[in-house]
Amino acid sequence: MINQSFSPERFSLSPQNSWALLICQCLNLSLLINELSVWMLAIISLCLSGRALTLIKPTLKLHRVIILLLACAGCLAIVVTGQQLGVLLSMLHLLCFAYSLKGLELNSRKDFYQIVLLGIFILASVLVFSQSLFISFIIFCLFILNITVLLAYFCPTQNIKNPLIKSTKTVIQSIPLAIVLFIVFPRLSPFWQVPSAKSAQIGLSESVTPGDIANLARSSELAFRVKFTSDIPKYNQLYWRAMVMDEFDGRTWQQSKNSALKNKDNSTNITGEMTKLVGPQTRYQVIAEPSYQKWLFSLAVVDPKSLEANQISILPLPNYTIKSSKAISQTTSYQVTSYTATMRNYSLSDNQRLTNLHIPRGNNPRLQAQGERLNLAYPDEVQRAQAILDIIREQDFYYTLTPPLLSGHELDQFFYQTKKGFCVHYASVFTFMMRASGVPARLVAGYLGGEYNKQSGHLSIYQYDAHAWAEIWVENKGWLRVDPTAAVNPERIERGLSQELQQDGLFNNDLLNLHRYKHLAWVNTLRLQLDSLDYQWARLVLGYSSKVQYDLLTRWFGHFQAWKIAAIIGGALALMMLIMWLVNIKKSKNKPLVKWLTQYQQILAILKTKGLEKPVTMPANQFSDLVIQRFPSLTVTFIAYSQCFEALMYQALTDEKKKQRLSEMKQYQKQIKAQLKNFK
Amino acid sequence: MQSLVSAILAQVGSIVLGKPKEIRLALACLLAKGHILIEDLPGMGKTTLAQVLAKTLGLSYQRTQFTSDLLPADVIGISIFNPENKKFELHQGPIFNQVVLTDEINRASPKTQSALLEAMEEHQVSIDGTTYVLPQPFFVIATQNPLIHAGTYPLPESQLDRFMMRISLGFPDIAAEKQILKSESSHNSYKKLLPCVDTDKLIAMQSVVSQVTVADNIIEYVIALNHVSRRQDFAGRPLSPRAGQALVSAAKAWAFLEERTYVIPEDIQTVFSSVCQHRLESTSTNFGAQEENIADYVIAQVNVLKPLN
Repeated sequence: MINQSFSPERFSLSPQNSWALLICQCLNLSLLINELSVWMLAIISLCLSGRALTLIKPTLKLHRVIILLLACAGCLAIVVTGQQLGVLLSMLHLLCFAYSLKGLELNSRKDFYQIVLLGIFILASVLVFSQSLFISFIIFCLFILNITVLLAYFCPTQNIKNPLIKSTKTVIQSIPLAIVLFIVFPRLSPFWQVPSAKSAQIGLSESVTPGDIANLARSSELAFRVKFTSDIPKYNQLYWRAMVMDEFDGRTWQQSKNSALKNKDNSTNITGEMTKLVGPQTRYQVIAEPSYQKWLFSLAVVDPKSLEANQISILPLPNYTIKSSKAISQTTSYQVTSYTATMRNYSLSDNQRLTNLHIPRGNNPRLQAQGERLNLAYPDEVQRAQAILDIIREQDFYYTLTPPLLSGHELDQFFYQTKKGFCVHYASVFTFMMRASGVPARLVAGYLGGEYNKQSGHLSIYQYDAHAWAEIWVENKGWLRVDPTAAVNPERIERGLSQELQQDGLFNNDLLNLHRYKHLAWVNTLRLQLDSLDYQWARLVLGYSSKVQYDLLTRWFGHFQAWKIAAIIGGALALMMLIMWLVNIKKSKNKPLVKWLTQYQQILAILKTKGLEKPVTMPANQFSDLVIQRFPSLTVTFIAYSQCFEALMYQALTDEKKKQRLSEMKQYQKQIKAQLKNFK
Repeated sequence: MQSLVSAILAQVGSIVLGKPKEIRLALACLLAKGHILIEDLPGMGKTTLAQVLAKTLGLSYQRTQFTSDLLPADVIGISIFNPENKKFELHQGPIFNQVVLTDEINRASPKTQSALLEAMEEHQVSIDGTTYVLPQPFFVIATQNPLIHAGTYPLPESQLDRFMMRISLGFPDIAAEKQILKSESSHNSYKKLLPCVDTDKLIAMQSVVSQVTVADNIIEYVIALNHVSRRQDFAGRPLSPRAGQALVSAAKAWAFLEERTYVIPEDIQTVFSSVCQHRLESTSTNFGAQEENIADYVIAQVNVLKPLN
């Protein structure tokens, strides 16, 4: 009757805990703010502010209809835009939407558990988008916060600080085991492929129309990192090839179909008679950030054999670029060996020659005409190229990242009127003129240079290092690299783009971007240190593939066998438990109360099996009366036992007396156990 | 000292018949230096219990019948000008006694009630700017009729809190009632009583009570009980730390009466209803079936051996 009238099972969350949950929800969702669309953010903030309103005014109850309307609006919006967003993002929208909506419907303990679990799931889903050290650390902190909210529910009257400390302790205690599992647990390949998260690609695009790379140059996002195991080439030799664009339609450069195709015959070309790998070796490891594209970065010419040892399958293409078989959707590392001094393609097939000479008829007529004039003036191809570079150098050309818009015959307009542009403009014009003058030429897109980090000795290549240059084919010399940008702006080639960028103030308006403050020495040092830390994270944690794991475990434990792994995991678990047990033993020594209490509880457990259970609210003395009624033969021993227990529990005894009482209690306990065996 | 206790109990029990538990509780309250509120219907022997206690403990006492026109000065005293020596002289009120018996406290106006209750808390009164310390030991034994009776000013929650215990006597059983009706009027019988203890002995008993051991486990038990009343979904009012203090002191006194030098959970459970019932009830509602159980409900929520788990 009492229980009914007071109904202690009714679910309620103290105001403090409700706010903690709400704040936790907001923080969890804030990590995904870049991935969610504007309307979803609007609906989510409606849900969250609705929850906040009910917390500020406890009398206010949101009407069911309002919640229903919100639910319908969210679902409808997801359905309508699902096509556009793709599977992963729609699912993510649904998850975030459900997470914020659930906050309005906290009616039972089950709801509360669900919402906490959803929060942790959302944290995990953030890792799909970014796995950097910084984000991982934030996720770790938020995970602790989520656990804290869960813990706080069970001690509503306590200050939130206590559960926070407790959950932090628990999570930190679990770290060693997590590390062991990370190192040892078999790294299974995923059961299903996470669909490409970003429809918008990052970095270079498949085609280049003058104007694209200006946008790219403003981004200080990391593109990839390189660690050289041999000597680092000079800055102006670090032409990281990503793709070769040999098809020009009058406006846009892109890869022609036959060069992008992996052609077995052609790929043997590289290693075959035609191309002999000569000169010094350059060995390096590339850690590429996710670009959601297939192409990868390398210096020409790549030794195809060096690619075979990699975890992911990488194909060398005949145009001296390399390509992954899958889109790069997570941080990926691979080893490459390049022979930079190797000559490329002595001979050119007719087909290739045609492709690399093609210009649309009537396109940019002035440039075409000038190209033809150059053909007559300079019979030697190299001299002809030099003549064009001279024109660019001597005339009034200007390097800028914010060139005027071009229309019509764009290259003509650029070359004869505006004369303002950046690498793509100069490379396009140069390639176009070379083709017009009868020399096979093509555009190469990629990155130039990189920032050397002294601490960890790696190069970081950012998106603003993106670059485009030209290649011309000369009989007996093969493909030669020509960088027309060098003619107008040698500094870009020698030292990189950043200095100019600072002058132009082009790093968006991001005040927190450390690249913005490169001129401050300490900021730069800090930035480089963070970069080096992030590099180690990418190398050691993100780059810990099953192959690395296999090598490591083989080195440590000899021949790789399944039972060894099981033994290591089991051993680690046992070790952790042992440590915990030892820690607890030490704690219980400080709290001697536990000793007799556990003993007493043993007897209680035995009595329970005999059908006599002690109500938890009943004191020991009263219970002994109950026991005597039920088991009259125990009378003497149990009363004495109970008295010992009572004295130990509540009396102020000296340590000696305590020991004495405890030994008495143990004796009685033995007797009681023996006597109880006779009962059934 | 235990013989004194049994003598007191026997003497009080010979006048107030059939109520041994209530007598023990009242004595425990006084030994724990608390004030006591006896609440019951008229004619149940409230006043008799109070008078017999005062008499048996050998303390100076005075009875004041509270009425609606009683003024604070009638309780604490007043300075009156004496024309002979041309000075103001203090006429001490009934509060300057060791035992102050206030009958039907809830019939006086709130003003008078607060005058008394201030004295209860501070153990001193101020008249015309002079502070007078009240005699030691100082007990207030108050009686009141249930609130539903006409012409009462209910004591506010803050003032109920000043009373360590509230007990009610309840109807006597048949045997006891038979004996009451047979014997001569109780009005005369208690006047013949002789005190069992004197002030010094009483103070000594109080100091023994204060030395009773209270284990950590007991303290945790009290805290756990308090926490039950502080839950959000709890029907009554939450218990204050002062309620916890009162509970511990009362349990010590009860342990003393049980001839123990340490408190066990039974002591807490026994005194809990008397100490906390009036602090848990919300005054906005009258006696209801629920609130009769409210103290039992709190007890039923806490594990005795591991209170804070």
